[in-house]
Amino acid sequence: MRLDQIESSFDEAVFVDGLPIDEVNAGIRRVYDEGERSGAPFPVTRAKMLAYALANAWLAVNRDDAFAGIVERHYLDSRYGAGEIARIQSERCGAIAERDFPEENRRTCAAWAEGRFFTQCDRSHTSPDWDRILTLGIPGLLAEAEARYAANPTPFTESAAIACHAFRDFALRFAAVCDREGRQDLATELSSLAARPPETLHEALQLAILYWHVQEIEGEWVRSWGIFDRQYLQFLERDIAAGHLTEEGAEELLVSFFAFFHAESKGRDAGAPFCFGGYLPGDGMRDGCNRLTRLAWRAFRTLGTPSPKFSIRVNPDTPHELLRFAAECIQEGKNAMVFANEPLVREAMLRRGKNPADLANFIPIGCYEPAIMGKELSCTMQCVFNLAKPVEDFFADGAAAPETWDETEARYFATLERDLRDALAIAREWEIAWRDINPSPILSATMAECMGRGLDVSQFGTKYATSGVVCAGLATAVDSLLALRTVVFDRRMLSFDDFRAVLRADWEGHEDLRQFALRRTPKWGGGNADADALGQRICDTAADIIEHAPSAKPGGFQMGLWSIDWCLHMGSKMGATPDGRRAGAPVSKNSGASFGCDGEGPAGVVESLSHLDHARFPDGAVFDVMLPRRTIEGEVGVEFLAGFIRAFFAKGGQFVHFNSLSPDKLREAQRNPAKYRNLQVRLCGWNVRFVDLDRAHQNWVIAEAEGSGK
Amino acid sequence: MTIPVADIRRLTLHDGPGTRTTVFVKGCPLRCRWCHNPECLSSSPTLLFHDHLCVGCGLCAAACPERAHVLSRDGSHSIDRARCRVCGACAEACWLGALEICGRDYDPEELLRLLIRDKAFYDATGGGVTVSGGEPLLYADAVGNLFALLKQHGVRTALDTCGDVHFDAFEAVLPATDLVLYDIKGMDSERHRANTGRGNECIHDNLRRLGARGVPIEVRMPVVPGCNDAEGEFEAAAEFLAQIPSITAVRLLPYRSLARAKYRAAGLPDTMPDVPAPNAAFLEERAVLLRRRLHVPVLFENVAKNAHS
Repeated sequence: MRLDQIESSFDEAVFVDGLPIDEVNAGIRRVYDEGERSGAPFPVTRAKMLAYALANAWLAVNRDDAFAGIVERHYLDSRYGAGEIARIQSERCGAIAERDFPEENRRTCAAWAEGRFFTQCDRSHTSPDWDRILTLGIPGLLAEAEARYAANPTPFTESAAIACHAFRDFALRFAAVCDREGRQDLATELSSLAARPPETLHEALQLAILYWHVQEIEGEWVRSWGIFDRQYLQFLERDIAAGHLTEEGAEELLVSFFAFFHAESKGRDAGAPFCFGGYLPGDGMRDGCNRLTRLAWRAFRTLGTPSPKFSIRVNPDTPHELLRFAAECIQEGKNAMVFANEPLVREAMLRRGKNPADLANFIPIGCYEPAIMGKELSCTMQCVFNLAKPVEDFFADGAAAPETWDETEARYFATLERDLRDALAIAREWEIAWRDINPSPILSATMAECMGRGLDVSQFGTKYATSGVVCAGLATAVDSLLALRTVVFDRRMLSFDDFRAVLRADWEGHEDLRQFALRRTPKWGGGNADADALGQRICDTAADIIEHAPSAKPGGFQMGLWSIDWCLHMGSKMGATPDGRRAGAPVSKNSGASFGCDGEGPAGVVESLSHLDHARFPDGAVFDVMLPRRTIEGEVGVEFLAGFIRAFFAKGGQFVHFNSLSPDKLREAQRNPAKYRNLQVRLCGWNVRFVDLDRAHQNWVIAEAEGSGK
Repeated sequence: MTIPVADIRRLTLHDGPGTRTTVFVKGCPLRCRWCHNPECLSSSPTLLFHDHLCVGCGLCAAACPERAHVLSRDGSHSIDRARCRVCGACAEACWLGALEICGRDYDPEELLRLLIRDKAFYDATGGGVTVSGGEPLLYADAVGNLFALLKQHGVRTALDTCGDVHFDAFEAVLPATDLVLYDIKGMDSERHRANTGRGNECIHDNLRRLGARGVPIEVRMPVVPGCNDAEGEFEAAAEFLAQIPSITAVRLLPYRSLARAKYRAAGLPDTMPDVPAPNAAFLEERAVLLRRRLHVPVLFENVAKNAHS
């Protein structure tokens, strides 16, 4: 089946079972209202809402579908935000914030309105325990939930039992639909999955698709598909040993599976990573790459779509051939992948008190935020903080002009500390509010500690519970401070007040000074010792505050150094900054240099990043490498890319991914989108088709591409 | 003992194996018509003027003690290079980076500190440091010292040379050199003189001596249409190179006239031939001539298939 056929099988699916969307949404609301009226515990109501949605959502299956799993979710689940479940979540967020911390909530809204920080109830950055899902299967999860409920009838155990029942009924309902539509093969498989754990690779993948739907309809994105090559190897080996499958057949099956996953969203929803490689459990520190790794990567290359996105846990024993294969994919523009420095991430987790035995199960959540699969409530975007914003405060109305560089620096750090402590105090309120907003019965049912402790994931029933604090705009902060120092204090080109007037005027009439700021002042990522030292100090200061801030969770707050595309919003709310940035322009992206300011190319950025202790960023840190096309061409390019990954990790980096884009080609794609329908870009921690981006994002990508080429 | 350095390029891929850092030194005994690093010809610092960045603000003229900068009312900006002492005052004053001093003396220890920063890249790819130019062997003792320091730190070294130096210069560098990238710019000595300002006898003699010593050599041959690309040149080159036992590869470097802006910036007459780049088919033809006699890889980088020959 061709890719466009698979995509259209979702877009043009004829739903054959279920209620119209409006009726489903109305029904969900009825269940919710009834629960609230009767005073039922919210976890139980939540499970009943899930059960109602699964019993009534529109389902479809086509004659050629490799799996059963076309569900009309766009008006149901939190991913698309348009359905009743998402609306109820939002309502509860607003109501609980107003009830419990109204002043703080208004403060965070105001702070975000000026691009300073935001805090939220992060409902979408936790991974289920895929090992338990695949090992226990639906009946195993259900049996455990029922047993817990029988032994200890609490709202949580009741909710878990209801959710697991709904999961099983969903499988049976889909089986009936398949049977009715002439897909007895899928009907038989789904019926089996309702009765026992999966036994074949196809069954295991089919179960994963079902679970994916169930959790996301419940209200939490599935933010990782686990360690794919480890989880599914047993099924592959069993199929091959039994003669049910050849390697070629398995590869075809994986192409169909990934295509199915891709077709649901076509890369428009940031996706969820499939993780590969890394050390196996046990003491031997043996890398887990295997024949399934190779088959899956070949399928990825064959498919060549923006999703699924892959992540690789790289360690010194990672096969070089795998890195080379990944590099060849990047050469072909199939760059939906990120590389993780496994030893570094392990070090970061050990410092945060995680058990060494659990580290074999670390996975990137969402984009590049490490967490322990199935054992960690990791709200990796609980707080998003703009490191550059305090610079702008120097130029606020009524702000006194600093008289020395030392005073300037001291004021920046004082504002940074004030804002960060404020943000974390509000984030703590959201941590507490989680349990009233987002109990997650099905997600909790996959987690052994939640079931053992009788606590929902939102009640921190997991073995680990952490909150991520995403720190963005480092390069803009460093460059701006040092440009201020150069212009006002070192070279005395302008007085502070005159510089303030220039920035207020958004550099109007001062293009020469703007060019000076862009070209002649020290830059993060530009091979400058002062910039590197200042960046290090900013990160250490932020990490000190974050690590020690009071948190409602046992694992506390932890720092990340990345921005994804929040840097567009942050910049849009800021005036011009001393680094030459114009008002409204994005602040710097992730941990890298400001676009066009990496004067020594990626080596300079690596050099800057090597001054940071990346193990202090347990919430992740990523470097976006934009390379000229000529750099990655041919055999030389393959070895360069593979070597770059190893070298970056040897220098202490945490995550890295790559783009190689021609600005001219991107502009041409803006003009002729139909011709470039399949041109994909690695936007942040995910890939998208360039033509699917809005204009602001497209221009941002072009600016990044123009900044490369050094 | 210092080395005048024009530029240090990190993560280079075509100056030896793996990922490398390439140091471009200033000063060269040859004057190749097609030289693509004209800022490296002189061993002294060079004032570069990137006219596209100039906005005619006049800060340079105000700073210049020699009154070498001339800004006319129509906004044009010229430099009286006869007056210029390359003191750098104008470059320091220029806000936009339109003026730049190319060339700074480094001692080997200082260079080592810069080059060692990228050791992780060298180690991961089998790369290292290449000293190119200009002609590194004009500073043979300092380069030899630098290479020795690099070897102490486990960094592989490559020397990119035109070979037109006394062999003693090689003696100073070879003990710590892993690979020599050796330019052969033509077999006919008179034509070589016309193209580069010098005959090729010394160059060829040094190559023979290096070969006899078993020094690993990658021969690099610029292919410049109308200058050194005749069939006979390559047949003769094949004959000659076949006698050098330690050659590991021959790489053809297709000419491209991309350095004209550099000549303008350095205030030098543009000597680049006005000829199109050789295409892949032509390079392959010439490679075949070499492969008939040589039993090492004969390589050339990807070039456009439709480029003119």
